[in-house]
Amino acid sequence: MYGSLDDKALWARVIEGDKNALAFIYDTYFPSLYRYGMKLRPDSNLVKDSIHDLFTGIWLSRERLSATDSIRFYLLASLKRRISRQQGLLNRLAIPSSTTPPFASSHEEVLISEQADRERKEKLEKVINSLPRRQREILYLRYYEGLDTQETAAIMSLSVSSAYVLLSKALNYLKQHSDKLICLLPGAAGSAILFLTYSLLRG
Amino acid sequence: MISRDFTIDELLQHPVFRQWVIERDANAAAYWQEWLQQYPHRATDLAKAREMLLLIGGPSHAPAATDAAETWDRVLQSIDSGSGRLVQMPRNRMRRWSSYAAVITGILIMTYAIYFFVRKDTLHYDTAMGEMRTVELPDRSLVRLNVNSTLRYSAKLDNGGPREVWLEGEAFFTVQHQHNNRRFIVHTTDVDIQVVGTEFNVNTRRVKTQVVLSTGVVKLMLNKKGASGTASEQSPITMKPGDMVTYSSATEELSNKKVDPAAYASWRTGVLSYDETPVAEVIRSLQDNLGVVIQLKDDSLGLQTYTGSIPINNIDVFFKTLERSFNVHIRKTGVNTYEIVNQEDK
Repeated sequence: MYGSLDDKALWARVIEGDKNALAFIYDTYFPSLYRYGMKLRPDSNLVKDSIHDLFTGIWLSRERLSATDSIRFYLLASLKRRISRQQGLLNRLAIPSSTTPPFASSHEEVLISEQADRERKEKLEKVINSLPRRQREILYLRYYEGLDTQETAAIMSLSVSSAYVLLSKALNYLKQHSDKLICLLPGAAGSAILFLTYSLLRG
Repeated sequence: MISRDFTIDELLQHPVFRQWVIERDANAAAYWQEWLQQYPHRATDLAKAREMLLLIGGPSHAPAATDAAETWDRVLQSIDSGSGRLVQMPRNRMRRWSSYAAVITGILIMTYAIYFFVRKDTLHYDTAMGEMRTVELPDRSLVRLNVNSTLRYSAKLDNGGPREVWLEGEAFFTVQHQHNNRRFIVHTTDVDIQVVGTEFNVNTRRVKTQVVLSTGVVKLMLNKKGASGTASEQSPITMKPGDMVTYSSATEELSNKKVDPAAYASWRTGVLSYDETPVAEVIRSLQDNLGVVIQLKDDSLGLQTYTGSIPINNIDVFFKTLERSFNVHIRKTGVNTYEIVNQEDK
């Protein structure tokens, strides 16, 4: 019933006091919020508390909320504000600890994961970690979360034009440094196709 | 057919690309497979873009299976206490660094609660679709609030004057009698219901107020449109147990009949009862109580009557009876939408 509403209509429901609409939004965005929160501050309890505060706050002050076209943007931006405020450490993007296994086992990896591939992935990870945290964050928001450039700029407190500049800089760096690594592996294209077939079978 | 070629940059910006790589959506996978057939030379780029996106995502911290539900439960707890008078923030674990933040958050919310208290002087209880709750008033009277309803009352309910509450939606009142015969008044858009101690059901949906009295005595004041005086200048309607009075300020329509009060209060137990009720009315009631939308293709069916009980969690009982008795077919057209069509048109 809520799935057919666009963001504006869904948000209006919340403002009017529809608790199920809030629950629907929560279900839709919890994984995204959690993921992004953990990037800002890899502390599961802090992230969950912040998400709790965020949704409680939305409900209790719903009468004063303004309309929004992009719920994803609103939530990610508010979560970042809350986490930054609680932390007193602004915009700190987490550097993954060495104990975290990169890309925790997805299925296609089980199929092709060999020693060479693992080494390649570790190198790729070094590439992304060698990027300044602001660049990592902007790439994440723009491509992984799929926000548009305006929204990304707003969360990053940048003008739209500087967001474009930063984004293309980060993307070029990533392309240059990952090109060799990705091309070196003859199986790369094959792996995508394998993954394609796998996702098809699964569906 | 997918119309065009994409570069790596364009792939990265493509929402369906994200759906495929991140959400592992099967439809999205089909989309890219078809695309690849059209642009086979792009296989490497597709793979590259995918690797880049995964790289950008980084080691993902997926929430544990119970995280979402557990956090939502805490949200609900905070929300429920927040719309009453006390706000607590249940927390997993307090730590040194978070206690300051917690205190600040606490102060903010207390400020909100005080603002709520002082500014509005009223307490608010809302229920969403699918949610019922019981509110105990300071005088120990009980209000069972049906789905999608709102009850308001003054924070100073116990100050000696008449006890007054405002209702939108539907509720069943069990009013405690007080020694000094202190009046209890339910205000709706259409009527003021005055009692001293009694049980009754009030339903204000559909631009009218319907009052059904179970026990005791009720006095009803109609809110007449354009009437210069207050309700007190009109002579009140006195109701006896089993009376059902319906009045709409908008249309000034007033009706009165004898009913079985239990049928009108049965929603409290999760069952909706109907006795010789026109099908159109049953459908309206189901829409109000279950949040479903039912379209009736043939109006003549709406005039037929229905007798029986429908559990609120099992609308199929109603549909099966309809199909059996009236030669119609019920089609599910969406998550919460249904269509009733004649068997022939099926």
